[in-house]
Parts: sequence; structure tokens; C-alpha cells
Amino acid sequence: MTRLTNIQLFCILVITMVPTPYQVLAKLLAVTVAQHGWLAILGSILPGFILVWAYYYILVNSSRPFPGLLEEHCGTVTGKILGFIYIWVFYLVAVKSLVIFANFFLSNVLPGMPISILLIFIILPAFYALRKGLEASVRTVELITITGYPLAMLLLFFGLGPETDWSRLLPLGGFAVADLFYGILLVSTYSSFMIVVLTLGPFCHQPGNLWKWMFSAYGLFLLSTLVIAAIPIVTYGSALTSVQTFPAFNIARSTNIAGFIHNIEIILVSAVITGVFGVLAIFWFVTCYSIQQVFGLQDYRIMVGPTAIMAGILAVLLVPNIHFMYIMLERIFPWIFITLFGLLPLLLALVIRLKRPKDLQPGMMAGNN
Amino acid sequence: MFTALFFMMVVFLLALDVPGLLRQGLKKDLVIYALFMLLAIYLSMVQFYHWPFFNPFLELAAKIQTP
Repeated sequence: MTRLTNIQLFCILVITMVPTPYQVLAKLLAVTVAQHGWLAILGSILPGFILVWAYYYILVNSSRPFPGLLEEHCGTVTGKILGFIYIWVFYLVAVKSLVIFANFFLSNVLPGMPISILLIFIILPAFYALRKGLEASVRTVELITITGYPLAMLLLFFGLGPETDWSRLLPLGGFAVADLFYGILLVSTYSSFMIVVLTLGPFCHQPGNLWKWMFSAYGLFLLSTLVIAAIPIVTYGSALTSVQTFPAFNIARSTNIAGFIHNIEIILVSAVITGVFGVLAIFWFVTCYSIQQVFGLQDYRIMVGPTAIMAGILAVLLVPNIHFMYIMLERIFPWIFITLFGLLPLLLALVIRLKRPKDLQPGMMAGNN
Repeated sequence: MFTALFFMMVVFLLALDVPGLLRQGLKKDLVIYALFMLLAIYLSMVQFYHWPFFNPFLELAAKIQTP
């Protein structure tokens, strides 16, 4: 069995949560709550902490990785049905990351490039990494996170030029509370991607210490989203941010430090490509692993081939253009992800708590026994 | 041309996975693999030949766009 170090799991969690908001969250929050995106992020701290705790609680009280643990706690039939649903939702996240990547590239970087070539370019390395096994994918993800994440964040800070106006984050008044709650839901959607820990956590050397790394990854996610949401607002204002397709890219494009450091958007493009590779590889792995668990297969790697073809085709079929992509990202996907990655795990943690005999101490995973 | 390339890719994937499954006698794995591969081929045909395809997300998005 492949074993992961805790730092590798931390990198996986960061890369599953951060790259997608990096591309789209600033716009989504500007559309939903105008300049109050940072308030929505602060508001999402408590729900996020509860969610992280729920994941950890499920993890230490289960002997099988997700979605196998659903059969353990909900019974074989219910567990299999839920597992089957989760296969497609994990796959949807992988396909969604491809859709965002393709639209980002075609609208900003290389307009007119055939989408099929673009998709093959990102699917092929992920296909190879998954075929080589979890260890190859995770090592790549570790490298990407450690090198790409600081670069991507640094680029946003470079955008703080002379036109920066911090008062654009104000006023605090004049917003609908319902919109703020919707903003919190949007942010929580991305923190709920941490659900992959339920599948990958049991592969760790020291699962008992995982909570530290989970909370650290969540803390880094919060800081990153604050930067991602606030910098476009102080640079462009909420109205301009809400009409841009990818505000982070515009910041990178307009960066000019003393007439010396400029035209550095290619760094952002490189960071985004590798980040999308990370999200794709991890959620694709979880999809194939879920298929293995639900259908009781010998090896998850045989499913990489068929799902590779489906991912490329679905990325084109599901979302016809960037306009519909943002409607789906704003109004449809958050409800699916928050229900299956947020509410159901909370319910599952509650079920485990109620079913556990009172005199029994919280058990540890099989890997820790 | 693109369809021919696609089927070459499918044959390559089948050559990569199926002999191992047959050798090990993993019938259930082979059935699940075949089902997913057939679904992948069907979706590809939908894309290449514009076969009818129900996309629930697009239907919902269109409804949201025009209330």
C-alpha cells in the first residue's frame, strides 16, 4: 500500500482547494456581494472549521477509505448507492477544473486554439501520472504546490500598484444579508473540496496527527482566498472585477514594477496549468478509486483509460461557453458540492456519533492500529 | 480523420488494459471496464456526430438565465 507523508497530504489539500478559487472566486464574489467578498470569507471560517472537524471525526472512526466507509456506517445498499453518486460528483469536479482551464486559456491566453488539443495537453500528463500510481501523482502535486503556490500568490501582490485603493473594500453597510450568506456558501463550496482527505487520509504514515495538517491547509486556504478576493477589488473596484472573466490574469497582465518587471502573466499561466493538473489528478484519482471501492475491483488504474476519454468529451459537452460556465459556477455547482461534500459528511459524522457506544473511545483508522 | 484518431486511441487503451484483465481472469473488472468504455465511446459519438444529448446543467443554466 502506498504511504503518504503528512506534508504530502497537506500539499494535496492545498492544491484541491486553492487553484479553482484563484481563477474564479474574485469574480463570483464581486457579482454576489460586490466589495464585501472578504466579509463572506471571514463568515465562512466557522462553517469551514466545523466541516474540517467533521472530516477528521469520520476519518478516525472509520476503518476503510471513502467511499468504502459509507458501507461501514450506512449499510451495504445505502453505502453503495451513495458511493455511486459520489463517483460522478468527484468526476464532475475533475471535469469542472478542465472546463475552467479551457475557458481561461481560450479567452485570455491563446484565443482560437482548438479546445481538443488544449484538453489533451492537460489530460495526458495526468493520465500518465495516474497510471504510474498514487505515489507519482502525489510527488508531482507536492512539487507543484511548493513551487507554484508562492509564485501565484506573489503575482497577486505585485498587482498592488499605484492605483490601489483600500477604501474600495468599504463601506460595510448597504448589502443584503441573503447575498452575504450566499457568498459564504460559495466560499464553503471550495473548502468542502477537502473531502478528498477521507479517501487519501488512510494512506498517511501518521493518521492521528492529520488534524494539524488539515487545519493548517484550511488556514492557508482562508488566507489565500482573502488575498484572491481582496486584491482585484482594491485594484479595480467591485464593478470592474464583476465584469472581468479572470481578474487574477488581468492583474498579472497589468503588473509593472518600476518599468522593470512586466509582461509576467506567463508565470501566472504556468502556475494555473500546474494547479489545474493537480486538481484534475487528485479528483480523477479519487473518482477511479471510488469506482474500485463501489464495484469491488482489483485495481483502480484500469479505470483511468475510459474516464480519460469521458473527461475530455464531457468538458466540451457539459459547458458550451464561458457565459454558461459562470452561471453554473455561481448558481448550480455550489448547491451540488455543498450538499454532497458538506451537509452529507456532517450528517455522517452525526450518525457515527449516535451509533458509537458511549463507553467506547474514538477509534483510529486501520492504518493507525 | 479525428474519428479515426479517436478509435486508434480506444484500441490503444484496450490493448493496454484488456489482456491483463483476461490473463488474471477478472471478469467483473472486465465488465465494469467495458461499460465505462462504451459510455466513453457513446459520449464521443455524441460530440463527433451531434447526436441528441440531455445536459441537465445546461437546461438549468438556461432556466436561470431567463427567469
